[in-house]
Amino acid sequence: MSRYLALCLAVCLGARVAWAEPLNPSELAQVKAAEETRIQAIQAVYGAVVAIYGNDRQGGGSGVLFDESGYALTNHHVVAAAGVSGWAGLADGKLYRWRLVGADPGGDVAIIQLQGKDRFPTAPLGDSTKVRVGDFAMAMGNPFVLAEDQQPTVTLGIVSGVERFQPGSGMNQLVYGNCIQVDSSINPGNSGGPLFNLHGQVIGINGRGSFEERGRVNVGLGYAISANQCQTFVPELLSTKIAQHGTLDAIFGTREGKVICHTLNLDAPIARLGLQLGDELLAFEKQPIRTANQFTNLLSMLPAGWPCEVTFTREGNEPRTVFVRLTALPYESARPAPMPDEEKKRSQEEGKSEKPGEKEGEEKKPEDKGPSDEDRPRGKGPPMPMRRAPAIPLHDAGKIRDAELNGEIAHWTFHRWQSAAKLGADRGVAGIRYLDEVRADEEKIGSLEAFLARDGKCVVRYDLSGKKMAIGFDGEAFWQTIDDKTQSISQAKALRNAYFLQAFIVAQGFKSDALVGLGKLALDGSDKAVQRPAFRLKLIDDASEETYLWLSVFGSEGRPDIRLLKAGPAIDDDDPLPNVRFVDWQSIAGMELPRTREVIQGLGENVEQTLANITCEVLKEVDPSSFRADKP
Amino acid sequence: MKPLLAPLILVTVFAAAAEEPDGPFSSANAIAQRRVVKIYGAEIGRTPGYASGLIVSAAGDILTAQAAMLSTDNLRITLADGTTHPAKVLRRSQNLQAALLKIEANTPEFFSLQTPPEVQEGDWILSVSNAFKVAEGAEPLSVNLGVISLRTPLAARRGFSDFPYQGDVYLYDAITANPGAAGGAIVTVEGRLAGMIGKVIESKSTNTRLNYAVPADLLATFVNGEELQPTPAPVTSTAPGELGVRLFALGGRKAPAYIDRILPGSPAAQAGIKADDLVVTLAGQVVKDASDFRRIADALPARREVVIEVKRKNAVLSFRLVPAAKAQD
Repeated sequence: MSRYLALCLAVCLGARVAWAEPLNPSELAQVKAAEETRIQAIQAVYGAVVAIYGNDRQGGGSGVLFDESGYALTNHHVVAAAGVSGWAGLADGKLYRWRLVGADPGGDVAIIQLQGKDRFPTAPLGDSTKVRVGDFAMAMGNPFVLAEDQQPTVTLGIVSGVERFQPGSGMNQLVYGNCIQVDSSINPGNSGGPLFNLHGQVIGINGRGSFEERGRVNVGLGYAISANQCQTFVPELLSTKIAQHGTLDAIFGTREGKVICHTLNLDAPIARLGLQLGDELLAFEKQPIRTANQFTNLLSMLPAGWPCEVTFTREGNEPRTVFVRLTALPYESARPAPMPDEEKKRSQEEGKSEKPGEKEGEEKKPEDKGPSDEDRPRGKGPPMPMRRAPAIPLHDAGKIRDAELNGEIAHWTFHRWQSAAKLGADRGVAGIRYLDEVRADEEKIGSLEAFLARDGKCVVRYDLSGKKMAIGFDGEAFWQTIDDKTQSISQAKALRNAYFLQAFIVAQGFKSDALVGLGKLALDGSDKAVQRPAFRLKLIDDASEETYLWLSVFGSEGRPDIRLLKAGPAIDDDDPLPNVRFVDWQSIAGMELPRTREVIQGLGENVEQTLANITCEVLKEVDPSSFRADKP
Repeated sequence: MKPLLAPLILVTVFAAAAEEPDGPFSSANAIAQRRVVKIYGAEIGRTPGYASGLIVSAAGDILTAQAAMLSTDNLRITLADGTTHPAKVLRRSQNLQAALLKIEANTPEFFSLQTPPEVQEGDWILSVSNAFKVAEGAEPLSVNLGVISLRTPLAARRGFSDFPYQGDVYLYDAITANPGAAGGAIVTVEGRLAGMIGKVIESKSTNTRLNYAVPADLLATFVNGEELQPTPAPVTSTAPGELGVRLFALGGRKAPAYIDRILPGSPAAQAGIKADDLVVTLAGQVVKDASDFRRIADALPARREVVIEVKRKNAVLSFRLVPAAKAQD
């Protein structure tokens, strides 16, 4: 028997083995090395797997920590059953308190935060677009609430299918779009737990199975929400929202090999941008679209408000590409509350008609209708205080649920950039002086000097096509000088100037009490910047004027990597004011500083001007008077 | 063949350890995906109206599991490229519970049944099927991984009835006892066809669903028309008795023992028992429901007189009859 086992492991290595004689010592060593690699991958992430219970320590789901601050991904249907707080068990055998941060009923994802430890173990997120059918996949979690000692259960299987679509239930809820199908055993209690590849990267969040006939046990078909969908939703969920999914408000079908718009809300942003009934969809988010199902799959992974690039064509015309933010899919009918029976019927009907895109051919049956008894805290005995945490209301979907927590997380996000860029460390640097060339279409159109002090003060002087301007912040107030005329200006006016803002934000990054006194910082949610998912922070000043900051979410290794990507006043495609994005970060005096900045316009981030750094000088001393308003 | 493979393993193991370009099972999966089809037929009662099938010739011959869903004029087969073709049933095999279908299309990608692979216990296999109708159109089928447990004769039932399968099956640990999986492929890690996933049945000994496949060598005998006919078992004195009574299959374990039909020429027919009679006692034991009847009737020896009491309208009638010898499996 051991020979069979050894052969199986040889197959693990990728060998195309038929039948053979016993392995020779070197083959055996290979097999053992492969096994060892797998065990090490499991051990590296074992501590990051969470067993999730309600406040009564009953029931159970699973989760996975992705950030050492205690943030963990799980299923919406796990927290919907448990409530807004509860207990979480880790492989160290200890129970920690958790609180709900945000939930996405549409995609069945939620983020909770564990408390009670400074640095939690984490697991990296992998790129789920690289997952292939036949790859090994390990599910981890707490099936059947088996582990008294909180140690996760590991089950190994293979990826059975990718880009699967499993319809949801209710109105736009629990839709598994573009998900991963696996035969790794997934049982009640595995919900919300991670699906790993053999490198120990989270490729999905296990959430449901094809349960039809034999009760809710593994039947060899499980489904995991893709890690990429989770990444996209992380900022949205950390903003404490009940997240909503996005729609173009246009429905497409496959007709004779073409993806044609057959239903369109004429008030939809995409309709105002020129999409008409009968138009053919060619590409979405830079991906060529071949079938309506493929489009539905891609769309179902995106949150409301996501900026999308859509390319379509009309018979005989040139293709057009437009940028549009997705509108939100509702979870509840906007009509007044009807009788319960009608409500049920109606929401089913609308759930159908609201579905963006459509599946062709045989109609699919929803299989597991979401939350089930096993994932729900089970009550036994007399009622206890705090038995059930308050339910998660859906009627406030899309709004920030907890403004205080949102503010905390917004500041945490900014601080994460500061520490990632090592801006806080004092190495005797008092300031930075940038000398830049301003270029448009590769040609020099002017020059710019930016002077940034560690205490957040800064001044920017530029000369564009002969027009000279200076704009500064002396630590308390903003001023500008045009043609030797100096005046004080509002914070909003200063920050709307992209040349000034790019320096101002980096100068604030030097301060441990960054942005204090400049307004209220909030996390808006998920957005896209520099072609990647981003946190969008919003600084609201005393005059209610808003400035936005975009920061990255994960790095290429799948670990949180929060860095400044973009800043500016514009969030819509037709905003007249430009934003500025930071593209070339280099280590200068031990700090990660942007060398190239680009002035950009619109959701497509068209580069209008480039601030190309010529010299970047590190100053040991700065004269505070440098930042005061120029004397007229 | 075996000694030749040993150096091959060595090379592939080393190559695989260095780099894993396509994943461990991608080539087998790619081969199987092109040769397994989606079948859509009649949805009758709770039986699924869909299944999987294997392309076994370049001329559109397709094997699947025998099923009620095939009994329709609107049988459709979707190939891997997403094209759908009408299909007709050519032949069925009672012994293997298989059916041979045909579509009017060229199918250059097919599983050869000429030299079935040598499959042994412990070998890894992939199952490729459209379980739960997860895939549609050109979407790829579901792939599960398992290990061959053994090759064994099958003793199973389907509902209350014995499953009339004759011959060996492969048992394995991939879960394939799912709606729509029947007719799917069990392939080796090289993508060669080892067997065809059978329909959902329960083991007689464990009452659990069996994950099994009809071995490729048996499929070959059916496709080639060389299938052995079942030989009638010799009648012996210890043979179990046969009354010739068939009850209504009403479903549920507590169904009343109403007689549906009487086999012509059987002991029951000769005694004058009729359809719609309700069996009250058999061989001195009370028959409360259909399962009581089956239990008692199955234990009756041949050629020993028994008394059966039935209720007909308002009368209870008693009959004496001598069970005939039941033809053995």
